Amino acid sequence: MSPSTPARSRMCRTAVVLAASALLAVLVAACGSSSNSPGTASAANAANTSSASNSNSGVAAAQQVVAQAMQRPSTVSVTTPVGKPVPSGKKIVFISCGIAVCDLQGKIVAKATSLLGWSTSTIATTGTPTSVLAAYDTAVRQGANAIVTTAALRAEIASKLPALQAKGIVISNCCTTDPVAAPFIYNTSTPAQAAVGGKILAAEVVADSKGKANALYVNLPAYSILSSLGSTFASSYKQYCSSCGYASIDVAITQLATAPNLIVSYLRSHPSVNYVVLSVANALDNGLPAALSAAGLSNVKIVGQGGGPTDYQYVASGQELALLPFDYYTVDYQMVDALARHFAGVPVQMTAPPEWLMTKANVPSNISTEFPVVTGYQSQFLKLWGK
Amino acid sequence: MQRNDALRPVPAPEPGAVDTKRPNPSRLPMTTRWLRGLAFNRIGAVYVWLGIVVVFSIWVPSTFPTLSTVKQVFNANALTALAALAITIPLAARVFDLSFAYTMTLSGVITAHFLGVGVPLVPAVLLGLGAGVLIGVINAVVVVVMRIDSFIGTLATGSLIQALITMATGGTAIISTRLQGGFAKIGQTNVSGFTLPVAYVLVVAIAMWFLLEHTATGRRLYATGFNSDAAKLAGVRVDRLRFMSLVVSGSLAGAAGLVLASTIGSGDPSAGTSYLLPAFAAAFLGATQLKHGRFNAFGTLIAVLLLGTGTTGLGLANAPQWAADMFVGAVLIASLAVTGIQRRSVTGSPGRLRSLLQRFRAVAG
Repeated sequence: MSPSTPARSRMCRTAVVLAASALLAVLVAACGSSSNSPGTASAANAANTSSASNSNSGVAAAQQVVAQAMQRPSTVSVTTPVGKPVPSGKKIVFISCGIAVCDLQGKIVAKATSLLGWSTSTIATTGTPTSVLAAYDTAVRQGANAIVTTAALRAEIASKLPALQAKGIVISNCCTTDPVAAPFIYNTSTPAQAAVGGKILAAEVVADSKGKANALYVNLPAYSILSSLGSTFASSYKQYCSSCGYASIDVAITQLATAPNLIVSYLRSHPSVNYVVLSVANALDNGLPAALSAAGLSNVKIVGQGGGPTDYQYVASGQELALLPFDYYTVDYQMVDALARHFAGVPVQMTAPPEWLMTKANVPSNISTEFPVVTGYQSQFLKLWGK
Repeated sequence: MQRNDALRPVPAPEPGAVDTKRPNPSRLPMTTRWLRGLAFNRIGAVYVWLGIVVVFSIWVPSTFPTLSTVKQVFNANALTALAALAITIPLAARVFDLSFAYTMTLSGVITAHFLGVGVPLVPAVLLGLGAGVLIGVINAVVVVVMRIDSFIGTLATGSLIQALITMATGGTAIISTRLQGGFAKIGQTNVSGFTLPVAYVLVVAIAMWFLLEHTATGRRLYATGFNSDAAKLAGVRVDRLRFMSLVVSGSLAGAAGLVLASTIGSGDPSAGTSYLLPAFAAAFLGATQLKHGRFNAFGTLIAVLLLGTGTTGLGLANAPQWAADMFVGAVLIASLAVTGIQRRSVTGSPGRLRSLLQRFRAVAG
């Protein structure tokens, strides 16, 4: 049968009609759902023009927060010395999350544990649930005394907990929404601690705009740990500037590659927005400054949480206004510190990661790699450990 | 059989070998050929695209039907188009190159590294491009010489490339103030609102169109893709074409990686990965357009623009986060269903092998 026969043409037409129907369904569904979309959230314009004095006091308060946040922390948040000898010879396993920055964390943890006379092995995972579960099995077989990991959720490793507890293996964790309970002994960068970042970013936007901001918050719902960052940003932002515009959009994890285009689309449809706030800068801003420039939106300022060398370079070159870099070094030492206290038999201190607002004015000279926010972190921890 | 003889045009097909009911397209009146060219089953995506433009123009009239949207769609999708074009030639020869996304990353990282250590712009760019060519050659050796299936072979080389990148960079993006100078202009130069990558896409697409549609090499590539055994019997050097298709793919991916690194301003160790699926989606969707199931340059561009226009329109309309994925999925399924019908119509049933050989001889000469 040739392609031009009526039967084949009918099949083609049927397929095309199906395609058109599916597209129409998508568009109708998307249209119907847009009532929950961020566009309607621009309560911004329902500005509470209460009083100029309130606005000024909010800006002043924001400026104060910014001034404080721009002071680079010089001390780690752990303050109490262990006070007892930390036993040596412990075997620590670091379970890597499967992305590059986790490999860096593995090296930091290995260095920290070596300072305590402990040995560390790193188990690489691909990030899939099965590979993570297998890593816990391996840790048990390797005779670990403790596990250091990131963003481990109790529910996800529930099947491995009995074996860990039977062997007395404890877990020092970070960046999870779970409360601390055995075998977990520590968690830092908790939702409550992450919320501090939201307040600082809100202050930065209000202070920089002098109370004339209209901000778009870009959220990654896939990371539940970020919810407190977003909610605190929104509440603090309104607290500092009730008349400032605010909206938020959600970006699915599958849309990260097109995030700059999504943001540009939003900004074009809301031309009064003059600040973009990124919940995870390094995931959302790859190529964003260039995309804004190409779209003639160079006046829009970008701030964000997290980041990596590319983002730091954006700040240094003025393409982004400010970032809250995550201090992997101090956080990893905090996790090891918790283990030191556990093995020494003293209470573990629940401490927050350092917060620092990095702008073009205070960007470090060497930003080609991840860097410690607290430059003297290592000597301070050694002192706390009695080394 | 001598190759030249095999590829010589056949003056008079054997009775019954060719579908005599089907008129020779070149002998049809111009109007009929135009009407055929505009038929829904040839450029269905264009009609869907126009429909989408109309829908979004009604849905978001203040922002969608503007020149700014045209610029945004072109600028935002230029890199995806470059990536999709990179794999169009191997796909035409029915060879997968799953490593192209990693090659993009590698060339960007290498160029950024050499720029960062003080190598001048041109040599650094050439080193990045050279990496792409080298990866293409390695892929070709794996697939053509070692006879490893291209799907798994290039998946393996892609994995090795990513391992090499991570080993060399430690997973950290390479940055330098030197990336902000002349190198940034490669991807960020703006001419009347259009960025330079848009021009690169046009140049590559035109060159690819000429190669595939107006040269014997292009016809032999298609012959290789449709039925390599038959092409061999017709004297086509199938292995050489597949080898070269992978080298071209690697080279174009290397060039796309350079543009990507220039656009984002760093040598990001995972920058290219996100282009893997969109590029294949565009290439396969593009194969449903213009050329009856053949992977072709302008069909690929139509696909990129169709998908890009839809996602941009959904963004302008503030659609929820799931809408873009659903849009892409719906377009792909329907379009690939059409491709299947078209491809079956071209390759035909086993009993048509003799006829197919005649066609190869006719087109490859």
